[in-house]
Amino acid sequence: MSNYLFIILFFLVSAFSGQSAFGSGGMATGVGTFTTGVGDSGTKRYRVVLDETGQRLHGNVNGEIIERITIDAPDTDIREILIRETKDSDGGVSLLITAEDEFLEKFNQATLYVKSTYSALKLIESVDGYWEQRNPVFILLTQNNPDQELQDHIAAFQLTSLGEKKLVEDGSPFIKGTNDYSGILAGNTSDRNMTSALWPWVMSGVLLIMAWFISRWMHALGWRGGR
Amino acid sequence: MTALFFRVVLLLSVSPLAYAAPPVLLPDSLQMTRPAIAYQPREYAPTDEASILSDEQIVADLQLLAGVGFRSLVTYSATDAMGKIPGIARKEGFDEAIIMGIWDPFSSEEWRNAVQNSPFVDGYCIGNEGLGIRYTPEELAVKMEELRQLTGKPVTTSEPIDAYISGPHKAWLLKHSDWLFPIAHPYWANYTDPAKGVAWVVAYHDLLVVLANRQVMLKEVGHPTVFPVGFNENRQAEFFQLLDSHRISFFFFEAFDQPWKGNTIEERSVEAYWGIFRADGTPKKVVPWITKRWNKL
Repeated sequence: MSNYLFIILFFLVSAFSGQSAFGSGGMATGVGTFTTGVGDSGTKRYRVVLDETGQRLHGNVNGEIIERITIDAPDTDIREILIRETKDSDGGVSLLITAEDEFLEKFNQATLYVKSTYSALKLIESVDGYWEQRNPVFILLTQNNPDQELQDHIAAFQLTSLGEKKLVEDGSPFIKGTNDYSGILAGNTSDRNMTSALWPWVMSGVLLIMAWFISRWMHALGWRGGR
Repeated sequence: MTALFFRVVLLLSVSPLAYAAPPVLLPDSLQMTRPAIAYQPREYAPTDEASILSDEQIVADLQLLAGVGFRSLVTYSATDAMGKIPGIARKEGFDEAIIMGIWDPFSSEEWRNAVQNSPFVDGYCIGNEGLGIRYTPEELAVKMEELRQLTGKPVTTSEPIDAYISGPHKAWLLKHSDWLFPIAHPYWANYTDPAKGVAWVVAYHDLLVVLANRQVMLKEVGHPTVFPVGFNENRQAEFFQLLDSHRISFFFFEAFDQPWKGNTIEERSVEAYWGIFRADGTPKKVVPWITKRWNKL
């Protein structure tokens, strides 16, 4: 029985490990994907626990690219979101921010705070299937000496939705001229909810249960044949 | 048992949440459910000694503002008739947060009026954009504590919002303010577009909330309407409509255009035109929207 089970599990895991977790531009790393900072080549995923202060939810991401996020989502008890950072080959960054459906229904707006290393980039977010550009608000965090160049800073981008975002350079084809509205058709943006992000986990559970039943069935067949 | 002990120790050592202090919210008396306005009276110029402010003028102003839907206000000075504003405001229907301003922390007249108005006041704001300029942090701290003891009311001061995040007095401001009451004008950060200006306000507001772990109330947020090119009443209306959608506690800046401010420093003449009403009391384009927005509730 154990040999059958091992073969089936090996097959399923091998086949499953190459599936995209969600969205585009990165592969899942299997079970444990959303442990903070876990990632593969250029992709990192963060489970962000949100705290509440007044009318804002906020989470300290402390990722390689994103420092923190603040969210206005009234009347929800959900206190976590998932963020995936993927460095693109063109120097940009793809982001996917997901949450449970109930959270998305309550979502009003968010502000994404990006580390200074990436503050020269522009953020584009998918709105109704098109990319819209968001310019950064630069906020100085330290001011050592008025005569010196101002020191550390952070860049803030306002988000009108969760889901797929990109941080791109000025010359990127996503940005045309100085308009905030680029008009380039965005990719599939239906993957912003946590259900789709957790789909691989659910599927792995289903497959394991199926494997168990198949192994039991084959074991039963073998037992009868032996008689 | 030993295993349980080590698990608890491990949890405490790795979880920053275990050490996180609870957030500090605004005092209940300062929680607002209706719009709030930064109020300086019409037809009164503090810089002109011949200018006299009457109680009747204050009543007329406040009736106009209450009719729009305002229920909270902040003042800037407690000299002369301005020292009576909190009491008059209560009679005219301002039943939410009334914050009395004291312009000069060393003025005995303002001090006396402030203490006398204590029954009508929910909080005090001593000074306005003067830290390290008109008064030192040490001087202001003494005055704030004294007023706190005398009235039992929360006391704060106001500085531009970046001063709370990166300025030389940021630690002082966070320590001595009973609530955070910064000023946030995207105009002075060179934001002319209403949407970008609101994004600027929200970005600073939210970051301050996170860094201070405190609810923040913005003393002034505004958009001029006349000067320079590109600013007009339509844009002011758009600015406030966008800002309203972000659930930020703020005071509309300001009630009436203040022509006297334009006569002080030429390059800051724009300061005369931030009112939601013109100097003659006629409404700008944002006023019908405010009235409709808040009378629906």
